Amino acid sequence: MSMHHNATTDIETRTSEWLANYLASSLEMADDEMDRDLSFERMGLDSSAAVALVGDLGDWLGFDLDPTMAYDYPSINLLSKEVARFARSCNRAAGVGQ
Amino acid sequence: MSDQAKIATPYRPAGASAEAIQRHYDVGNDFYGLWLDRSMTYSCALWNGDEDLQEAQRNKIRWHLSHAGNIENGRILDIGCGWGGLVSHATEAFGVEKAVGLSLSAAQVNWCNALSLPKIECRLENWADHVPGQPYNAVISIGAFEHFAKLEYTQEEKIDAYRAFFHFCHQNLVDDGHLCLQTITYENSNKQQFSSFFSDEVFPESDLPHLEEIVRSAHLYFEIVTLRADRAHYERTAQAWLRRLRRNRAEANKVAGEAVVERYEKYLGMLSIGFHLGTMNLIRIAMRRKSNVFMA
Repeated sequence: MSMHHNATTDIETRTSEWLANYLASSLEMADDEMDRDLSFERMGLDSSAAVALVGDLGDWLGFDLDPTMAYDYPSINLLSKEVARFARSCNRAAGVGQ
Repeated sequence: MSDQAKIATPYRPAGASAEAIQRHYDVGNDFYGLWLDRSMTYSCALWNGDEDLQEAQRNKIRWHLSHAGNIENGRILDIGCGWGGLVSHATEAFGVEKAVGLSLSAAQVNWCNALSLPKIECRLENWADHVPGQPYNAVISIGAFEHFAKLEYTQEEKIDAYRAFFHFCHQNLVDDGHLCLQTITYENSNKQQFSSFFSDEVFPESDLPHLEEIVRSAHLYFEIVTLRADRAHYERTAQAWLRRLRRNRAEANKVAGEAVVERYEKYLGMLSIGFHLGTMNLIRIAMRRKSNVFMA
């Protein structure tokens, strides 16, 4: 399901949950064991995994995300914040919620 | 062996095999048409502002042609001509009388020749096997140099292979001829550190050059006129391709299969990251032929 049509106010929280869930399942850990400030690099993500992560996140959100985002915002918390900022700017550009 | 001795006995390299090149480029024109721009240009664009991909690709072609010296009413050779974007523009907008393109991809050569453009000839041929009837005013090579050295080459063999290329260009250019090159290079990395995905899936059998290897192997034959390092341009180009591919994913799955589409999405994403981080760079160089090569 795309989040594009849902309220955007909680995108940061929902993205953070999605990322924790996605990474926990890739790394075979429990969601609540994920340190959301730990860098993706420390989690063992390589460039190939980073591409897949951002690609799948973009599919889920219904946005085009640049594959470099996981490097510029390299933790669950940093990436969630940036995705929320990006989603708000996209929605403003598209006139969503106005 | 000294640099000078190489002039008399140039090493004739194979570089990456035709099979390896075709494996990457012969997925099918329909597939590439879904995410490349209309000119089917499959190499780094040149961005000046907020232009679209098509215009940025046109900028790139113009950059090379305008750094190629005196080519009006002349002859140019495009090594790695892709789908013919540069040779077409050269004859249409730069007054080139004869543009010859070489490619190792049958799909690309068939595409170019099907256009039946006068003044343009595309050949399924390695540059090392090309015997021109008369010298060229300029040689341009965009996105082919990446494939000139095999992964297993020693440092010496790699320089020999590059030097053989510059020797070929020198031999087949007029006195004041120019050579314009565009290639990906290693920047903050080398082949040992490079992702195996790239060496296995993207540049099969190929080892990228370092800038200093290009300079070292060219200096006997050419002086460097202009050099640009444009990795941000490739990051932006790869992201533009990826966005287009993702938007056309359903259609791409139909024409190329899901596995191929997935591989290319991964490739374009990793390409973008490699240029973003400076693992790789994108170099554009314009060189002028040295008339008096020191042979002593």
